[in-house]
Amino acid sequence: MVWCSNCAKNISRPDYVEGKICCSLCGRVLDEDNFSNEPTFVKNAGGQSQLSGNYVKTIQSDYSLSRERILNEAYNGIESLIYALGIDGGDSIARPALAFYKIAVERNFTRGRRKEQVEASCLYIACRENKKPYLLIDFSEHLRINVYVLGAVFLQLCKLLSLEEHPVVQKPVDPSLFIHRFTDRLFGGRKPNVSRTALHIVASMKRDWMQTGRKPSGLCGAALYISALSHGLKCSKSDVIKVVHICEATLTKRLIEFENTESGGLTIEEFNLKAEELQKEGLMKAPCSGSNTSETTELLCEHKGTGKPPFAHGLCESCYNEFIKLSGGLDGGSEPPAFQRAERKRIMAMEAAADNTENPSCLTSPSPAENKSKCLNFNKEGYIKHTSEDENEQAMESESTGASAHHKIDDSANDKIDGVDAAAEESESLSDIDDLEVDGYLHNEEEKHYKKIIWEEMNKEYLEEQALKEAAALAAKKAYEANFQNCPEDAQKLAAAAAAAVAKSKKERQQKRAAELKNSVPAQTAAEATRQMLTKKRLSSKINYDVLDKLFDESVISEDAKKSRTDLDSCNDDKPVQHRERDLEQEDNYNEKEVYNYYDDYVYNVL
Amino acid sequence: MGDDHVLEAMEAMDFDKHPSGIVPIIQNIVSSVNLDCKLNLREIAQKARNTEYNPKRFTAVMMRIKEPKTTALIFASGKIVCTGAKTEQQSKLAAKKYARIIQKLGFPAKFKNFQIQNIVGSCDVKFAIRLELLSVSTHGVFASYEPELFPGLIYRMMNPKTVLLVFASGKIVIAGAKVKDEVYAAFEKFFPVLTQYRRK
Repeated sequence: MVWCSNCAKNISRPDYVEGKICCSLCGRVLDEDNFSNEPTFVKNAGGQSQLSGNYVKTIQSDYSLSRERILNEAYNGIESLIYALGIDGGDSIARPALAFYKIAVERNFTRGRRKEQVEASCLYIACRENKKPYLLIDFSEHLRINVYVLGAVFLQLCKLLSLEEHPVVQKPVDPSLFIHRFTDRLFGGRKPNVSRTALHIVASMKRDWMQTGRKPSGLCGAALYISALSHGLKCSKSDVIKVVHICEATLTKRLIEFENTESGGLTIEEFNLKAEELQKEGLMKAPCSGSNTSETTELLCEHKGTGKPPFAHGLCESCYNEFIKLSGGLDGGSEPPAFQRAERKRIMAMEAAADNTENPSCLTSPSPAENKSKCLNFNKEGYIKHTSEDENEQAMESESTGASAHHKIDDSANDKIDGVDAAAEESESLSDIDDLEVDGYLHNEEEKHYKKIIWEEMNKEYLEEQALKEAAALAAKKAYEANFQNCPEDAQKLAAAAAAAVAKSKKERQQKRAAELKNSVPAQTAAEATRQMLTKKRLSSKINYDVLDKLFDESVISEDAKKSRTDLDSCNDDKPVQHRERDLEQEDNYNEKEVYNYYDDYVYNVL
Repeated sequence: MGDDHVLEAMEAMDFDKHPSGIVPIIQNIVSSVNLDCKLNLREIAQKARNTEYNPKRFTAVMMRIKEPKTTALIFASGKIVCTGAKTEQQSKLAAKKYARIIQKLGFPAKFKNFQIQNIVGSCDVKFAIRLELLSVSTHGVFASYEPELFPGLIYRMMNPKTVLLVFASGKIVIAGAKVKDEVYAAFEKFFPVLTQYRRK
């Protein structure tokens, strides 16, 4: 739709002729643009070729074309995820997710990771921010990947975006959010009664500490199941499982745990009544902050710095109430099931211990060990391997209990001795190890033979690959040498040296560098540090090191010099510098500031 | 294992060292040592018992010894990683045994730079903990709690630099320490924090 000023109306279908947009009624040329991807050249008046037209910058943003493409594809991916999972909110969710993705791309986070995983993680953060009831497991089900793989990407993304301390990620997900969504999916429509009861059940589970450490989907599934059955709706365990993404064993476990809590014994009406009472109570209840307010008078929740008074545990009142709603508070209810299990085991262990009649001998055996360790300690100054070996042998012979006591002595002796060892020798001797035992760990000839056969059989593919690699390397080497057979001797030597340098694998070079880094002593002075850096970076071979030392004799560096950052390889500067130096020494008129500027120019040229 | 408990019971409960009254039990120690000579892994795999060598999967030989019960990863560069020991002395003894085995196989092995890389300990505080509160509270900056992914809260302590896994049942795992005392120190530092979030 183009406006034609001649006809004074909008033309719905203009003519496109040779790059010109013309009005179809009067023929007036409205716009002229001839875009082409290929540069064309025309001869101008002087007879020289010139580019016809000029370059047009892309209209959009300062992104390159490929970046635009990436972001568009990402947006499509995010939108398809939203559609597939049925997340409502549309653009208000997609835009923030895309913003996260943009940052991820800029920080090279998408490299080496599947882009769907990154898209899903960005979308998950956006959902969490807007309190949309979607779990990681929903995304991973759609993408058909392991939820822990996606979880790892999500955590890394949080680290990248520095969201680790952000309340969005800090606050754990509230299971109550998911009830409505799961109810819809299970029954195909809203069932307010069922949802309400399920919410009460979840709140009760929270109070009874069933929620800590568990996946929110499991609790929701159990709550829904109970609620549905109690309202007379037909709902089997397998239905719930499909909707909530847990397995039957987990669902059964949660149901049993709920059964064991106090609320589990009530009927539905009783339960509902109790729930409503508790809700009313909760609003009026004051937190048992007792000891806490005295310790933490500082506000440390997300409302830090807003001047709200701290209520409890470093949280302001609203945050504390949120926390109570989220997790059911610190007091009351039953112990978490995991804790109960641990308690049960402890009780059983104690009973078992009480039943057994303990041997008094095991209490006396440590004492001879203690005596021996004292004797050994006296020898620790002049640590000679023979004596310790002898004493070890003595200990072995004279101990009453088995090998365990022997090692107890070893441990207590070596405890003091190890420190001296490390100081005395860099490489320690191994003569205190029992030879007989070590021999037992080696094969005899026959075993070696068989093992060789077996191993080669099992690793056939690997051996074949290695053989192929070696053959290829050899062939390449031969071809290389054949090329140089006709050249003179010097050239051959050069070629050989070059080949050797290349053959020295990248890995070895890397290892050498790493070793050097480790061994290098940190520089004592600025001059040394610069020298080390220059040799390491190998910027230029024409560095005058004498001047370098002189450079750091002056202590003040003026800031004007920072402007003159020129190219690294301006080795021309070296010659003029030397001349000028001599001039400076002869003429004392130059003030010091100029001298400094001068040296600094030099430094920055080199750096 | 039983002997360790007896030994610990014999050490009087040092309330100066363990004011909380709970001593974490060391479960695993990982150490490394440099034999300072290149090794032929194929030869080692074929000549020694209790070895596994699968070059396609991992380029190191896995060797096990029975006393102390440990596993070692032996690399072609001559470095050994020894895991599974319960005390520092056992770890060193085990590493020495591995070095001796390599020596007997004909390599000029030395025993350089024995270093303990990681010590893992665990303990039980015997009360339930509200992980949700811990993750949003003052200590939340160090804590990472994602119930969808892992049932425990991951607490990264700066000094001593260790990681503590806190579970709702009250069991704690401390990892990343280089010295046994760091494990104890980390736990003692963390214990008062835990008592704030215990179930009343």
